[in-house]
Amino acid sequence: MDEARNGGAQALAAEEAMQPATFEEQVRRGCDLLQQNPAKRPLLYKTLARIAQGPVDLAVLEDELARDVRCAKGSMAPYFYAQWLADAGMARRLDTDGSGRPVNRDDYPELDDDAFDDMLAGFAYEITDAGREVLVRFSPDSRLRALYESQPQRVAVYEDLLAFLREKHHLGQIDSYVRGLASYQAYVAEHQELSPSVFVDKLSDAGVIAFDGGWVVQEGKGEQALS
Amino acid sequence: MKDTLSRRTFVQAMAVGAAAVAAAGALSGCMEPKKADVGKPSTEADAQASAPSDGKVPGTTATHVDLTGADVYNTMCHGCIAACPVRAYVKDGVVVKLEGHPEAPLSAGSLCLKGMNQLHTLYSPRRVLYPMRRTGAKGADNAAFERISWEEAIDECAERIADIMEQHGTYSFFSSAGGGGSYVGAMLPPLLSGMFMAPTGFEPGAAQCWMPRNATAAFMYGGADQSTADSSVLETFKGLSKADKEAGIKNDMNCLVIWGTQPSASQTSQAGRGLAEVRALGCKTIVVDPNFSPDAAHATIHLPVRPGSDAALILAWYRMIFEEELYDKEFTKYFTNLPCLINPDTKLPWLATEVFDDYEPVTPEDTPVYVCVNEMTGEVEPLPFGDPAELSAALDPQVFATATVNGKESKSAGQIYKDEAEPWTLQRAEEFCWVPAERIREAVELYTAPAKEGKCAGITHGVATDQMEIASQAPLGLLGLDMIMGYVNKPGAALTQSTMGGPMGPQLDGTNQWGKCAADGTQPRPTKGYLAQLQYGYTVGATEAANQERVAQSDPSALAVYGKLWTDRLGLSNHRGLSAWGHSHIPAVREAIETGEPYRPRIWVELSGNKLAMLASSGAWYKAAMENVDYVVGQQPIFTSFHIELADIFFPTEEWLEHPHSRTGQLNYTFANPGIVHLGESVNPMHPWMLLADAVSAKLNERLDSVVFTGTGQTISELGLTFPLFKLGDRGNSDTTCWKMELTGVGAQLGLGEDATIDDYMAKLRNNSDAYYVSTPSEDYWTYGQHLVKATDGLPLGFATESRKCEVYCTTMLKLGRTGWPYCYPTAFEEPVDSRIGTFGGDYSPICRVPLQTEAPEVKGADGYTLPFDKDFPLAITSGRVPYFHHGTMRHAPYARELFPVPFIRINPETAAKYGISDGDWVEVSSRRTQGSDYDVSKRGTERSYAGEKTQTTKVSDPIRTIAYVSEVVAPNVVWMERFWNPECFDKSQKTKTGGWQECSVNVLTNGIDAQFNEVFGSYNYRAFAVNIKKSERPDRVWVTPKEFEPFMPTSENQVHDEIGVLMGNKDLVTDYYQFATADAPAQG
Repeated sequence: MDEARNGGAQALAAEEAMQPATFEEQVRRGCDLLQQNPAKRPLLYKTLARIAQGPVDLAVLEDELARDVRCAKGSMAPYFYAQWLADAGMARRLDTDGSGRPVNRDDYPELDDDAFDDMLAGFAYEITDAGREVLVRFSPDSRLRALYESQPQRVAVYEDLLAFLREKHHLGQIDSYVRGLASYQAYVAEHQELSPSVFVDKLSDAGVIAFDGGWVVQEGKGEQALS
Repeated sequence: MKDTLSRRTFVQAMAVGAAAVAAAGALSGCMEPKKADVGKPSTEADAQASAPSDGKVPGTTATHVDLTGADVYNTMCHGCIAACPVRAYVKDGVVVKLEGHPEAPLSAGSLCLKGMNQLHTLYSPRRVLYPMRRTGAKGADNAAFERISWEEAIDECAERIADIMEQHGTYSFFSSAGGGGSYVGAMLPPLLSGMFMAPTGFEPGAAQCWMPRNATAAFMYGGADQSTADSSVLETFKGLSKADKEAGIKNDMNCLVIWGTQPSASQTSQAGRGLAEVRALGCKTIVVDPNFSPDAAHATIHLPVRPGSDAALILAWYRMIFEEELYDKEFTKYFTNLPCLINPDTKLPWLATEVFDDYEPVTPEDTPVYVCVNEMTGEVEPLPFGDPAELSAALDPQVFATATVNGKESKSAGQIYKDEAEPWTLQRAEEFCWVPAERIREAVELYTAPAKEGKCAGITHGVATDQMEIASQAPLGLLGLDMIMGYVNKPGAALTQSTMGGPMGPQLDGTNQWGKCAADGTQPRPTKGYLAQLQYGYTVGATEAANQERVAQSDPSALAVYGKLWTDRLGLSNHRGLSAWGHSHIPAVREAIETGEPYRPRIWVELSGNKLAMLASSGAWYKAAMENVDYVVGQQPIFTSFHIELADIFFPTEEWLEHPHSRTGQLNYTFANPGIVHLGESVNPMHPWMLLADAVSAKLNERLDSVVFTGTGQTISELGLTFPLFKLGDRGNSDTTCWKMELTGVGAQLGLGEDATIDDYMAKLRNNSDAYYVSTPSEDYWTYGQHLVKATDGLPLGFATESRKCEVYCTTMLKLGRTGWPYCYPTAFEEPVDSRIGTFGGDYSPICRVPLQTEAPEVKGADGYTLPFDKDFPLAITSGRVPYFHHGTMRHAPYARELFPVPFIRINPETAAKYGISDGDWVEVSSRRTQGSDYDVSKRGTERSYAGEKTQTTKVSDPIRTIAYVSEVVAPNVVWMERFWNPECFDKSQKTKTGGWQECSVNVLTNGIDAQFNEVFGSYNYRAFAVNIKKSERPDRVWVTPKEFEPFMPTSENQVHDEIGVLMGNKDLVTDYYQFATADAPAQG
C-alpha cells in the first residue's frame, strides 16, 4: 500500500500562494460562493454592490447591512458577508487609519511593525476585478432577463405580478391576485397548472423582489421590466 | 484514563479484542482465517504492545483490561437493526468493554465486528457534543462552525423555518431521515412534514429498502413480508433459544431459500449465527445472489443470478412448478385467488353478482364472491370463500382455465400467470440469468420437496431487489411462490403471521401480541388498515360504510388539507406505492429543488445520516441542494460530509449506549436497554424534531393570516386551521417515555413499583445478568393456522385482503395505480397512473413480469428478449453489505477501517485479465453519470419505456476509484462493491479538504436520474446498472494505511479542528443524564 500522505492546509496555502488563481478561476470561485449559498445570496450581492461603489469602511458596511431586515432576521453577523467575499477573491480587505484612509504597509518602510499597527484603526473593503465580473453576472437585471428568455410564455404573468408588487403583499394576497389574472389563466389553459408561488419564487431567486413583511419589488430592480 | 491515548495504550485500556478474534468467532465457517493468523499483530509495535496469550482462546491476543470495580449492565446493541443483547462493562463512568449476552435467544453471546467497534463510535473524537451554527460558507472548503446553546439553536432554527414558510408557502418545508437502524425511523419524515402542512418527506431506503416487500406482502395477504433482516421471518430460528429448548420446541426449517440477502454479513451475530446453527440441524439452503457470499459458501445450492434478472429466474421457477404440478393444490384452489376468472376489460376478478343475475351472496358483504370454472362440471360457477372441507364436495376450482363470461373470453388468474411464465424455460433462464439450467431445476426440486411430505420450505427475501427496477415484481413473484406452495402459517414456513400483532400486521381482535388466535368463533374477519393520519386511508376487509364512518371522525378541513398533501406529493402521481410509507419520490424531489417546479422545497430538516453518501446520483443531489436549498438542519452524533458541506445548524445526538430503549428485544425476549453513560449535551435523537415541531408551530401560529397552504393558495386562517395539522404524540421515543417503558417492562419484572426512579432501575440492573424476561411464552409465540380458525361469521378467518385469500394475482396493484386506493381515501387521484409507466397494459402489474432493464451487460442467447447493451459500460455492477459497517455508519471506527479501509471491487479473474487489472490495483469505475475520460458525450442514452430515447450529455460527478479484489466470487462481467462509502477525511493531515463522499462511493455512479424507476414504488438503481473499469491510481484524499486512521482513535482530550472551528472532545466523559429544559425531561431520583 502507498505511504500515508502528509499534506496539510498550510502546505496547500503555501502552494496556492506560489500559483495564484487565474481571473477565470477567481470568477468561478465568486460565482460558486453566490450560487451555492442561496439564502445569503441577496445580501452577498448587496454587499458586493456596495463595495463596488468604492472602498467602504467595515463599520459603515456593518451599519448599513444591519438595517436590512434580512440581515437582522438572519443568524450571520454583517462582517461575514464582506469577509466571505474577500475569502473568495471578490473583494480585498484593506487596513485603514483613524480617518478611514486605506494604508499599505509598503508605504511606510520607516515604521516598525508596532508603529505601523498603532496607525491602524479599522478595515475597509474594495472590490476586485473578479468581483466586478461576478456583480454583472448576478445582477437582478441579468437574472431577470435570463428568466424571461428561458420561459417567454410566462413573461406576461411576471410583468403583471411585478406591477402588483410595487406595493407589499403577502403570499396569500399574491395567490388570489395571480389566479385572477387573465395572463395567468391563459398560461394555465395553454400550458400547465402552476402554483402562483412558483412565480414568486422565481422572481425572488432573480433578486428582483424581496420579503420585508410581504413581497415587494426591490428599488431600482426590475424597473426595466415594468417600464 | 490517560489524557493522551496512543494506539498502544488504547488497546491496553479499552479491551477491544483483536478484530481477527471477532472475525473468527462471528463469521464462523465463513472465510475462516488460518488459526496461526488469529491474533497475529499487524506491526512490530503492536507485537510489543500485545500481552501474551492467556490460553483461554487458542491463538488469540489476550485482552488486557483490569475490570476490577467495573459494573456490568445488560443492554442491546444498536449498531444495526439486529439488536443483539450485550453486556456493557462500565468503570469510572466509562464503558470499557462490550460482549454478547450468553442468554440472547438468537445471538447467543456473540457480538459482531460492528458491535465490537461501538466503543469507537461512542468515544470517537468526531463526536459533536454541542449544538453548532455554521459560520462559514457552504462547502467543505469553507466549513466553519461555532458552538451555541440548545435554547438559541432551537429558537433560531424555528424562526428561520417559520420565516421561509411565510415567504414561500408551506410546501417549502421538507424532511428526511435514515433507513434501517436509524434511531429516528424511516416513517418520520412525511409525518414531520405533514404536521407543517408540507407533503415532502423521504429516506434513502423506503422505495429502495424494505417498503416494496413490506407493502406487497400487505397487499397480497395482509401479513408480514419475507425479510429476515427486518424480523418478519422468524420461523427460521425457532427452537434455538433457551426458552424454546426448555419448552421442548424444535426447529422445523427443512429448506430456506435466501434470495437477495446475506445474513452472515448484515446481521452476523443474529441471523448469520442463527442460520449456521439451523444448517447444522439439517436445514437445506438455496442462495440466490450474484456474489458468492458466506451464506452461498455454505448453501446446498447457489444460484449466481445476473444482477437485475431475478424476475426472469422467478418466472422460470413458476413455469416448472406449474408444469410439473408441484404446487399445493388445495391451498392454491381455496386460499388463493388464482382460480378466479378475470374480466379482460377491468383486469379484476369477475364478481358472481356481475355474472349471475339472480345470485344471492352466501358470504357477508365484506367477503365478495367471485367466479371460477368448476373442475367437476366444467362450468363457470360462483367461488365463495369458505372451508375447503365444506366447499370441495361440490366445487373444485380450476386453477388454469379459460371461459366465456358475459360474452368475453376470460382467463383465470392462474392461467394469466402461467402464460406469463411460459417463455421462461430453464434453458432460456440459463441464457438470460447466467445460471445453469440444471442447477435451477435442482433448486426448485429442493424447494418443493418438503410439500410432498406435508412439510414446509420458505423463502426469505432481502433488500437486493428493492434496489433495482424489479422492486415490485420480485416480491410479487416470491411471495406468490410460497403461497402457491401452501407454505403459509405452518411450521417451517417463512410466511407465518407471528407478527400479525405488530404495526404492520392486520387487525385481529382477540389475539395476543404475536397473533396467537383465540378460540373458534370469537374473532371477526381480519382487516388491514392502510391508514395514515386523521383517519386518512382505507381499511381493507371493512365495509364501505364502516370506512366512511371512521373517516367522518376527522375534521373535514384538516382532512381536505391532508388529502391534498397526498396527491401533491412529489412523484406520487406516477409511483403510488410510495403511499405505503407516505414518502416522496426522491428523484422527483431533486428535480423540484433544481427547477423550482411544481414547487421548490427550500428548508431541509435532515434527521439521520449522510445523504451525500446514501442518495443515488449523489453528485446531482449535491448540486441541487447547494444551489437551491436555503436552510439545512442536521443532527447526528458526528459531523458527516453532508453536514460539513451543507448544514446551517447541527444538533448533537446520542449514541445508543447513551439512549434508553432504542431497541426492544430479540424474538420473544425483552432485555434491559438503559442509557448507560452520557456525553456532553447530546440528546435523544427524537428530541430535536419534537422541540422543533412545537417551536415552529408556535411561531407559525402567530402568522396564520400570512402563511399560505401552497396546495390551495389559502392562508391557514382562511382554512380555519392551526399548526401542527395533527399531533404525533410521543411516538414512544422521547426520553421520558423510553425510561418509562424500561421501568414498566424489565423494571417491573425486576420488582420495581410504579413510583420507581431511573436510579432505582439502574441499581437493579447493576451486575445483574438476568435483567431480561421472556415476554411471550414460547408455546404462544410460535403460532400457526390462523387462517383456518373460525371467525364470528362462521367462515375461516382467512387473510386480511378483499377476497380473504392470498392474492397471488394482486388486485390491489391494479387499484393502486388507478386511484391510489387503499391509501388515497376518501380523496383519490382523479387520473390513473401514466399508461406509459404501467407495464401491465398501462396498469401496475399484479403479477411478476420481466420489465425493461435500463442498463445491462451483453446477454447472448435466444430470441425473444433484448437488453440495452452499451459497449462503453459493458459490466454489470451490483453491491451489498460487508460485516464491518451498517449503512452509512461507522466509517470513523478506526479498527473497522483498518480491516476495510476503502471499498474493494470484486472482479472475476477472467474480467480482470481482460482489463489488465491485478489484485490490489487501484481501479477507476465509471458509469453514464460520471462518464469517464474516454466517454463520447454525444452518445445516446437508453430508451425508457415511456420517454423514448434520450441523450445523456450531463455529467454529474467524476468516476470513483477503488481497489480490485480479484476473485471468483463473482461471475465474469459482473462486479460487486460495498454499497455506500463516506470516508470522513476532512482533517488537518489532508492536503485538500473534501467532504469525503465523492472519491470511492458507488452511489456516485448509481442511477437516480433516468432509470426505469420501478412502476409502483419508483425504486431507482442502487444495483444492477452498467459500468466500465480501468486501472488507475490511488486518489489523493483517501486514507488507506492503519496509521492514517489514527485521527479516529478515541481520546479524552478536547480537540479543536482549526479548519472547521469545531470544538470536539470527550472531556465530559462522565456526566449526569442531561436535564433537558422541557416538560419531557426524564425523572431522576
